[in-house]
Amino acid sequence: MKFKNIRWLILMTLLGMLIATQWRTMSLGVKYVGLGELSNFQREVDIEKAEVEQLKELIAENNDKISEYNKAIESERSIYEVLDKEIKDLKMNSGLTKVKGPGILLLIDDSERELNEYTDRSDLIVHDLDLAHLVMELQAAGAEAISVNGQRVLMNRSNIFCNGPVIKINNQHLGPPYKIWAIGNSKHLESAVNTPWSYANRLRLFGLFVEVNTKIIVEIEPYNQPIVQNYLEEIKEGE
Amino acid sequence: MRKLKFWETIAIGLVAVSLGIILSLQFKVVQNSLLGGLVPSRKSAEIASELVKVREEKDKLLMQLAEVENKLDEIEESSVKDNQFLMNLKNDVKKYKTIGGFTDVTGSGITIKLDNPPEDMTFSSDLNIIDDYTYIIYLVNELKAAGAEAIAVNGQRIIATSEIRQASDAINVNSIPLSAPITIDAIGNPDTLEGALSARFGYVEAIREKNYQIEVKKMSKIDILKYSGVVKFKYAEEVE
Repeated sequence: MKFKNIRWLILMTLLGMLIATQWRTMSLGVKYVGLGELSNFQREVDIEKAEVEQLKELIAENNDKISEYNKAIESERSIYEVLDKEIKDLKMNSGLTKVKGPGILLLIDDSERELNEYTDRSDLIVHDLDLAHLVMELQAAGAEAISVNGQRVLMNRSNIFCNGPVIKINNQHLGPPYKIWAIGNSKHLESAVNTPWSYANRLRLFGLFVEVNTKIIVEIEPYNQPIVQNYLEEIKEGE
Repeated sequence: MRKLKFWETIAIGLVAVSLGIILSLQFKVVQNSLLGGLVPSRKSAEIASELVKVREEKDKLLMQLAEVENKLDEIEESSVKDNQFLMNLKNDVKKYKTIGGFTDVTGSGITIKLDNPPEDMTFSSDLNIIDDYTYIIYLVNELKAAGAEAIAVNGQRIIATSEIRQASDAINVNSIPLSAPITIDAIGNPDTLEGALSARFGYVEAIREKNYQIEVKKMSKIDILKYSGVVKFKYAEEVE
C-alpha cells in the first residue's frame, strides 16, 4: 500500500510539473517569435550597422575637407589647388583617369578541347555573361579599376553583351582571347579567381583556358565613351 | 502486489495519456523546422534593443553629417565667391560629382520590383532571390545597355566600383547587405528601358518563368539618391 502511494505521488508530481510548464508556454505564447522573423530582425541590425560605418567615414571625409579649406583659406592659389584636387579625385573615382597600380592579369580563351558527341560547342567558348561574372567577382574582391582588352569596365556604365562571334563592351567589339586587367590587392584578386567555387574555376572545369598572373604594375586606360545625361537632373538643395 | 481495481487502472491510464499529450505538445513547440521554430522572446528583445541603439547612433551620425556638410558648403561658398575662375572650378566639381554618382538626381525612368514567390502557393518553394542574385547583375547590365544614366538597387547607388555579390543570406551592394524584396530604380528613357527588359525572351520573362514576382513600372519622375559611402583608392594612382 505504501509503495503504491509513492508511485501515485511521483506520477502526479510529474503531471503537475508538466501542466505548469505547458501553462507558462501558452500564457507567454504571444511573446514567442519565429526564428525566421528573428533572422530578419538580425539582418536589419546588420544593415544599420553597415550604414553607421559608412556615415562615420563620410563625416571623417568631410572633416578632412573642411580642414583642407581652412588651411588653404589664406591664399587664393591654395583654394585653387584644393578644388583642382577634388576634381581629380572625383574623376579618378568615376573611372575617367588613366591609373596604374599593383594588380593581376586574367587571361581567358576558348577551349581547345576536341568536340565530342556529349559536348555542345557553345560550352567551349567564352560568352558575354562569363565575362560579366568574372568582372563582378574581381569587383567584389575589391578591384579599383578593371579593363577587358583595353576597355575600362565601370559598374555603372559599361555593359557587356554578346554580338555574334565577338563581345561588345562600351560599344567596342572585342574578340578572344580576353585579357582582363585589374588593379587592387593582387593577393585578394588572385584568390578571387582561384578559389574552387569561383566562376573562373567553373570555366576552367569546362575546359576553357583560364590563367591568372599577378603583376607588379598594371596600367588601365580611362573610360572613353561620351557620358550622356539627357534624362538626369541634379536635385538642388532645398527642393 | 495486489491486483489493481478497475477504477484505479482507468485513473492511471488517464494520467499516462495526459502526460503523453503534454509531452508531445511541449516537443512540438520547440521542434519545428529550423526557421519555422520558435524561440523565447528574450533573444528577440535583445536584438530589438540593439536595433534601437544602432538606429539612435545612426540618427546622431546623420545629424552630425548634415552639420559638417553645411559647414563645408559655407566654407566652399565663402572661399570661391567674388572670383569667377574659382566659381567655374566649383561648378566643375559639381559636374563631376553628378557624373560619378555623388549627388542626388531625379528624372524619368523605371522601377523594377523583384520578390520571392508568394508564400501561399499551392506547393511551397525554397526559391530565394538571394540565391539567384545573378539575375540582378543581368538586369543591371541590361539597364546599362538601354542607356540608364543612374541606377540604384534598394537605394544603393551603383557607381563605377559598386559590387553586387552574394554574402551568406544577403546580397551585398556597396557592402550593404540587402534582402528581398529588391527594388531597382533607373533613370533614362522609360520606353527604352522598359522595352529592353520586357522584350520577348528577355530577363523579365525568364525571371517570371522561375516563379519570382517581378514588376516593371515606367515612372515620369524618380529620385535616386547619391552614393552613401566614401571611395578611397589604396592601390591605384593617377598616371599623368
